[in-house]
Amino acid sequence: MPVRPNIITNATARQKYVQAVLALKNQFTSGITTTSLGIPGASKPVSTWDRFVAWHSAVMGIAHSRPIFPPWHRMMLRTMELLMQQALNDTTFGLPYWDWATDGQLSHAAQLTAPIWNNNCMGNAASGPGPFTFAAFPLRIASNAAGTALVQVNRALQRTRGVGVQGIPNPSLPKKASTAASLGVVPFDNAPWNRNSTLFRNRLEGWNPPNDLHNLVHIWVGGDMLPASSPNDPVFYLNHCNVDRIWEKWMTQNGRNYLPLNTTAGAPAGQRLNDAMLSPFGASVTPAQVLNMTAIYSYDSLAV
Amino acid sequence: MATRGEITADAGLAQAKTNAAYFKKLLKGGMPMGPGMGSMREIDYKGHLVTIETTYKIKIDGKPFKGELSASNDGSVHYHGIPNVAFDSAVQLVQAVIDTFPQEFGKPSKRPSHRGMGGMKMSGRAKPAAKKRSTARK
Repeated sequence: MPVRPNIITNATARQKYVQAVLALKNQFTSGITTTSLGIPGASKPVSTWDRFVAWHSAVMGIAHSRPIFPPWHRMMLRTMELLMQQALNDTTFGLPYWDWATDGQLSHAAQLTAPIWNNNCMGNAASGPGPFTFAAFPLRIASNAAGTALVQVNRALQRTRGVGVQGIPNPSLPKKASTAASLGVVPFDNAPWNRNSTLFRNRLEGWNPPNDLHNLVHIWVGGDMLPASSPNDPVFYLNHCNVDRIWEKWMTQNGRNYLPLNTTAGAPAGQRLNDAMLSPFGASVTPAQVLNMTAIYSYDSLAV
Repeated sequence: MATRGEITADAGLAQAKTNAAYFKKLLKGGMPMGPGMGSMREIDYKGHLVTIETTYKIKIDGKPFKGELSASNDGSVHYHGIPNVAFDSAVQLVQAVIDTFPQEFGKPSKRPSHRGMGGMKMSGRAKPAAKKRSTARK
């Protein structure tokens, strides 16, 4: 059974993750093309890695700012983990996580030089791309400015790291105090089941308080981590694996409970405990079916 | 009901075809934010039902910006193109759009005059409208 490791403290996991990313980036086994996905321009094959970019972009309005944000990404990550295991021929491989709140305790300058950005890990994009050079890891599809469609591109991965966006200049990564505080927020979610909700899911996602935890990591990394096509960046999975780890910690403390139930009045369809979440890579699952994954994978630590 | 899901993963063609139409429809449908995530806010305050409908008409260099903005109850503004950020204002949001997607906007257009300046001509190169600073919230 895979044990998901901290990418900073496990050099083997780090090396295998990079190897698996590059393998899936260059895997074209599905026959899926940009044309079959409805992306304008000349028809080009879409790699397994890039199919996840399209999948995430397609469900942006379903799996974000909504109750299924944690279970849907759990499904996405487990799917990626399985495909990486196949690429590595290693069924014990577990997706690594980035404990970004540890780096959030550092000064702004030290966050920029934290080990995750070393060239034997994620690299720091433009000035030190590490494993993800333009030659090895060209971006092929990305969101347009309106956020209404995917377009074809041909460029290197971009990050702005620590610059932030308008109104949020020079942000820090999330702090340990924020992750710890989220664990005490119960129950899982509440009406109106969106960005205006006030409970754990919305806190973990980073809307309440605004621009914290998961969302703040996207903002801090910047560049290609900002649009809906953010799974272009291998850091995406490290971020979400840590989000999944925080959710797992929350469930060990507060019970494997999810809201809304299928009987909850006013609960939006597609967001309830037993509603199906569709996958382009396998059978659909429900939030109920992914609440307890302790027989499928575990984490090396739930200290958040 | 199963309590544990055995998630499966197959990157092959047959599996890819299974839900292809569903996901293509989502992508072609403009990747909407879903029902209830528009600019209609609704609250119950002291037994009074309050609805606040907010619409935005934004142009960048004279061209309509097609991103769909929505406001949250705390007044922050959001749009699908940069989906993880709550902006303090629509002005900041549009500035971030231009910063994040510079290749889609090219060089700033020149404008003969500035709206709101009483027709007074401005000398030199006009700044893009989106660069205006504002402390106003939605």
